[in-house]
Amino acid sequence: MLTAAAHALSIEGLSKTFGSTRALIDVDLQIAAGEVHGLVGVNGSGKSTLIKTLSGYVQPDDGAVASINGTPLRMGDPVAAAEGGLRFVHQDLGLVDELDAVDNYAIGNGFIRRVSGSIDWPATRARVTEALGELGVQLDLRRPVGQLSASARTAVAVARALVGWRDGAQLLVLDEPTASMPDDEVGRLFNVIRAVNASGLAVIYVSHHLDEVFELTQHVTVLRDGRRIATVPTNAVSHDELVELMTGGVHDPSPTSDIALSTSSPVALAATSISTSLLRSIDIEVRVGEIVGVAGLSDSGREHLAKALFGAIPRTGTVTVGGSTVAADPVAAIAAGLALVPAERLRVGLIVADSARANLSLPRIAAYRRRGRLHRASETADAAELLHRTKVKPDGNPERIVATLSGGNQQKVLLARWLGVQPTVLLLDEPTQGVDISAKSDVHRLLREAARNGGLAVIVCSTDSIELAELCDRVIVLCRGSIDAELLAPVSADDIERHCLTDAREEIRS
Amino acid sequence: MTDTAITAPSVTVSAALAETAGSGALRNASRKVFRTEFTALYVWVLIIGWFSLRIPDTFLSTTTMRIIMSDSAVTGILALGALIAFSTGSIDLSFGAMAGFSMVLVAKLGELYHVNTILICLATFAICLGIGGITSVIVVRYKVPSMIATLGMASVLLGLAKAITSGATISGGTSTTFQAFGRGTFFGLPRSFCYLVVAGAVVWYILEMLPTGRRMFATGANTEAARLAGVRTSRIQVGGLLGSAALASFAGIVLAAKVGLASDSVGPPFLLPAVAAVFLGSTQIKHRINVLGTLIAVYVLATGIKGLQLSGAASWVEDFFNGAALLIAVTLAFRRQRQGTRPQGAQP
Repeated sequence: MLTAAAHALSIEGLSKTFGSTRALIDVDLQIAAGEVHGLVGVNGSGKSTLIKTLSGYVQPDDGAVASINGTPLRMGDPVAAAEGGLRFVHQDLGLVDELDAVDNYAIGNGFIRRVSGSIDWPATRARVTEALGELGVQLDLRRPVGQLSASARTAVAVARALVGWRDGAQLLVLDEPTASMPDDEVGRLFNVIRAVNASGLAVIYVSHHLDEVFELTQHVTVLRDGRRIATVPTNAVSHDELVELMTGGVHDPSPTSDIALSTSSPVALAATSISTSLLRSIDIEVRVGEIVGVAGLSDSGREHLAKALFGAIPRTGTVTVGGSTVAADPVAAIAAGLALVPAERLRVGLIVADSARANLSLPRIAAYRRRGRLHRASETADAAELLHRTKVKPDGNPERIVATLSGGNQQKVLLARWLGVQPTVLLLDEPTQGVDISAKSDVHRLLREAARNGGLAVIVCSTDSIELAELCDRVIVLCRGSIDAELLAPVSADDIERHCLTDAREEIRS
Repeated sequence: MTDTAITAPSVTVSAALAETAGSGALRNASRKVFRTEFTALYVWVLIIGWFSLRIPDTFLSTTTMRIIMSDSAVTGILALGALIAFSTGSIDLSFGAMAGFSMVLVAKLGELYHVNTILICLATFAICLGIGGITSVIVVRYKVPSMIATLGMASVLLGLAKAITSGATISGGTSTTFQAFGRGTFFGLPRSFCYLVVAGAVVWYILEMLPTGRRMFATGANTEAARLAGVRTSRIQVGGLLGSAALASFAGIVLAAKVGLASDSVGPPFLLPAVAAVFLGSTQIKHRINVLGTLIAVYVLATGIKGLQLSGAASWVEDFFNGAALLIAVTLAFRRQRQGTRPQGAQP
């Protein structure tokens, strides 16, 4: 029963609870037929959960009612979502970089085949050319997609998501499609989206970049803390009003660190013209006892800064610690007093199959060599002391295999390792990601103590604005690889979010 | 998401432990046996007991004991080399061919140049290390998976060995003093066995008692994490492959001295039993690759095969037995890995 007023997608009463966390609370969402609808919200607002319940990979709580063009949709079922006509292009696109556009397009949807069963390459290529042509894109079908531009790759992913869309697709969801896209390609992607939209397909456009939302969408829905705060016509709201809706002023200004930082404290680390594939000539200074936060959206360079200073990834520029230059190499960095707690603790931080003791002693294992062999007793004693100091649960047993610890305690082991090295500068990347509340406050306490009492200089790169607001004496906001703002404590999480969302590109465009 | 990835194995382990404590006496018992870190020792006792009852006259003799000790010494030395490479995360499949190459090279050099035997051994050793160096450049510098690079190098070495022998057996290359180096005894024990013990002690000391060993295991278990912890992982990986080449070359020289003849077909068959021993060894004593477990595994396999041979079993038994042991050992090792206590070092 289709009516003119039927929505492309209608959801009512959508909630999702993970354990004790309510990720979505009674969310309603209506997408008008044929519109481009923006979905915005700060980190942790529930955007990803909403997308995942739509695609069916997360089961919503009971009580949600959804329909597509008036036809009821059972949520939490990937097959029902696909059959109902929902199509998704996720941030990572899901392409196989080594294969060309034809293979990527056809691999899940079937190649056109001859009677003999062999692939009819000319026909398959023609079909891919046609599908891309409908999106207004022409590209070299024989090049591996990994070598194509970001917008062309996204176009391939969109074309693949929309295979046969004239028959069934109702709604295309684009989840942060421009997160790793150079500025000059965003416009080309917009043309693709407009081509899709022009043929009557509704689009949900998820992005952190508000300028894109203003340029592209007719309506915008704001999520905050799992609730839908507003759905408004895009042209009826200003940039600042939208930011206000997203941040809501719910977070109080931070309780500034209890002990004041001496203003005369000397510079511990000075870095000049640091560049990587994301960073553009960053200068940064940290003083003894200071905690500096680094905020920024994804691909702002925030995720590179700690690794770049440590020399874990290729970089140009100069890093000096205590006046002497440090080579871009982890061994030199450690020798100079730098320490890095990387973001992906399981992949690149810890050796999870090994004991806490072996993980703790690894960077300074040579120091335990006495009379030609390892002095196991002092290694174990040091490990036990560090585990006690950092309150690693459940038992602080140095022989415990790290894989059997919870995420928070693993993170404490990693932090303890580097505190044990007694560095001059501690670099942390997402220090409390996937960490429970109590471990998080332990980590924060340890960092404050190390900075104020131990004279450690700390750089914390984090997507958690509340964390930065609570912890830092100063917060640097990165935007498209450059420093966009420097905020002194007391700073609120709101301010940080606001600066992250207001990027330099918008000023250029508007 | 990362969190579920870590908590999952710990849950499985505790669930498995709870299950062990609970129902099913028989299942319980069998679980315990398969979980224990000394299974190989029990199996060894069973094998010895079985053959002692079946064929007491031939099996229970000092000659048989000596043959087992001495024949398996070369396998043991090779397994130690493989273990060094495995612990740093590289799979070396070239050490059997390397041993064979070293064997024919030392014999050929002895035949061609009548100079000091020690000089000839050193030259052989240096050439083998050079080839190991090439392999490690391919693996570490050019990031070719070690399994592929060493598989290719194994064939290259076999080809070189055939070129040296021209298909014939080299018989004139070994002097009596050189042969004494491989035959003879120290304190009543076969010399080759003594070399194995010394090599085992050295490798054990490096892996377990020195900081280098920690760096090796860390590199093998998680190269990037080790690198960010200040380990020079490239050097460690090169060292692992060179260590394997060095021990393979040494094993080849011992082999030439022991046999007195050299042929290009001798080396490659050592590959499988040595790899089997390292993996079987990684299920023993410690929950990772280790020297003592490996050496025990070498001798458990050798004892079983010798017993079968003395019982009149056909020649296929050796390959079958070694292959089955490798499959069982690797299956056990991977099962444990899934349960969250992954063996450190190589993962094929």
